[in-house]
Amino acid sequence: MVEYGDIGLWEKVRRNKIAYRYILPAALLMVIVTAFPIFYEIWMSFTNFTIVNLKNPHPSIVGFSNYIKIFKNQVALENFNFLRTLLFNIFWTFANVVLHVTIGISLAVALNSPGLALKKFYRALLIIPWAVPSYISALIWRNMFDTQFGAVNQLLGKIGLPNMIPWLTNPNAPISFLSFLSYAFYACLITNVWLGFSFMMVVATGALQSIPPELYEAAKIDGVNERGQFFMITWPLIRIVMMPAIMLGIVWTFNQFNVIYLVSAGGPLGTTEILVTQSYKLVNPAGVFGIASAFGLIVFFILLGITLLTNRVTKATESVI
Amino acid sequence: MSKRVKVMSLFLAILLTVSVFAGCKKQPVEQAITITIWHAWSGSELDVLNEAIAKYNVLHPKVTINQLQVPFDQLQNKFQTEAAGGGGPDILVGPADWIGPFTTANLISPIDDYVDSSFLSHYVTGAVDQVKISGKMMAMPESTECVAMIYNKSIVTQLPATTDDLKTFADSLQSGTTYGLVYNSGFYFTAGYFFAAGMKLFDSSNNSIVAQGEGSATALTFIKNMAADKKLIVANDYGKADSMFKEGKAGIIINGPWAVGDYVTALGAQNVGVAPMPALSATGQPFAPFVNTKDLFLNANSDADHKTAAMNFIKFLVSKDIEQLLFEKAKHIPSNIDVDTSADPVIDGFKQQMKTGVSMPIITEMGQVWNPMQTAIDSVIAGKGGTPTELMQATQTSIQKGIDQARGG
Repeated sequence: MVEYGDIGLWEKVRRNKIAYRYILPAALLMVIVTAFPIFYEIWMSFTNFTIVNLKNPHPSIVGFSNYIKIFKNQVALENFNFLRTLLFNIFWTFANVVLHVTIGISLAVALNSPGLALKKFYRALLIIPWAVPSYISALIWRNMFDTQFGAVNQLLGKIGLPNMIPWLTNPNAPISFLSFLSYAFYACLITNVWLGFSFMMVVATGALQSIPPELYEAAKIDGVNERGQFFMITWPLIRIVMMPAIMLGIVWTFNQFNVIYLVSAGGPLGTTEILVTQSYKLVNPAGVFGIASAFGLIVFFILLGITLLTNRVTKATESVI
Repeated sequence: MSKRVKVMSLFLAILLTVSVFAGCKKQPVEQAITITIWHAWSGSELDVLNEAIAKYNVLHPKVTINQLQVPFDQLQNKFQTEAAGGGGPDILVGPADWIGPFTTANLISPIDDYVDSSFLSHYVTGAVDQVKISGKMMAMPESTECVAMIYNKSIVTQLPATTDDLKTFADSLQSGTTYGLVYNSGFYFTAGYFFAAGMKLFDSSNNSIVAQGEGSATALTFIKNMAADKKLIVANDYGKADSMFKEGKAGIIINGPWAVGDYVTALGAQNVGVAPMPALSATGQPFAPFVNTKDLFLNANSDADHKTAAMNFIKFLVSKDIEQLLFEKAKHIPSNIDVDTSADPVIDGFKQQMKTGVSMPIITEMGQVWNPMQTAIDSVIAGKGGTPTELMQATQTSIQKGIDQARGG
């Protein structure tokens, strides 16, 4: 049999004619709904496309000026600051994923302890945050963070803590050495942790149940304490399952539009703006489609970088195990 | 192919061909047509709209009217995007300052061909003048509006004359979860104090001059002082202010006639009062809110039949009967002079406030003012961005940047 590498492209296509015919409709659809908009966006990012061009799509080519405007923060949109938004976005992702994973695994381990009563009931209860549509939870949390009437401040007041915390209205930082994090960041963080830990808990529970109990018995005989059991048996065995979930968590949180937009709307004064909410605002209300396209492409390259990086990290861990 | 299949396909082909001619009946006098209307009306306003549609359907059974409620802060953009792409509803309900951007982008069509002078003679001249751009009527005014002080008579027993009085008085009313004043810090609601302090929006060539003179900085200082008072609620949160007033937790709110219908339902007619906002203590000048019309726009994308049908419905909406309903139930201040508004204290309060108001500019440049001004207000409340004077300088630069960008700079 001839090696596939030895024959030309056309020959390859000819030999698999039927296969190409089968994928043709799907491929055409993908070209129309995916490839065309991407190339259109690349073209738009080099033009001064605004709302008036929707009816008359002949904007003038402006070269790289849209990109320069973004990096120099010269966009006519209130509180636009590209670097601050990017750094905030990275910090937001990091803070969230660390908390999701820690809380998720802790709860999973606690709920996995043998002989715990009402185990299924607790699991069902803890899965609720994940089962409720996130925009509903986000809107409820938004109301709970109201300064005068919100449940959060009322609860704090009941247990004797400061109870007039301006969660969503004060752009200043409550913790002085984290001066770039406004009150609203903590509000969004609490909301997103509440929404996100269940997923990690479910994944960790699944992984924990696949660990044979004999390993723990052997460890006990060898005199390993609980902490040692976690770091020497539990963690190495669930890591391979947790890694993809963590990668997924990073990508989800990096683009967590719902929570940011519905809880703080990027405010106050743009302090909780992440890249996706900012690009949304470039389209609505700013209506500068050219700059928005350029912004979208920049975000694409950032995400591409993160994906390549995380891919490397996952592969590295695979080779270790 | 078997013979049976051939016969079958021939039969189907004939059936298909015949069915094409099914539409070729004689046209009825009024053809069936569907009109879409987008609006941000809610509560009693929406009830009246639905009632009007039902009444219209009795008169014109072949016309279907689909109404879609869109949150106010989304409505302009939704329409702009849809209409610029060649779609959108036939009718849009919105304030007069949208006329400028919509006309520039060619999204709405003039209505002069559909209205004659005898029809227009039934409407308030000021309202009709506001919707004109270079002599062409770009919309049909439905009502006039401005913001004023709305108060709960069971909490508020006296009316403050100046902002200093207002502050002292509102402070004295605060107890538990009841507040004397919930002050919406949105620019539309606070603009009256900026103008009372002497701010001007544009020069003669429509460039921004908001930082000229001391006016705007004085107004910002006033807002800063109000926000620093923890016994008042100052927030750019319409929903919160609105529900607090409805629940009887706020004595005074600043809002427009559109909200009064719901307040009367929630608190009872005997408890709702309307009066002009107190004068600004710093300058002694009266509150000068934007006075604008709420208008019905005709989409430029609709074809001639839809435009005619849409205009017929618009004319029905602004007719004496429907505007009477809108006035009685939703407290809209009618643009139709035939509507009987005699002896209504609510309307009187707004009419009094309008005497000191300023007409809202409908030029395209106005669209660039809102967000920067809001940032200035939010910043001064948060204590960011420097002194009020520095903030206003930055705001003026920001507005001008927007204006230049919109002009293609």
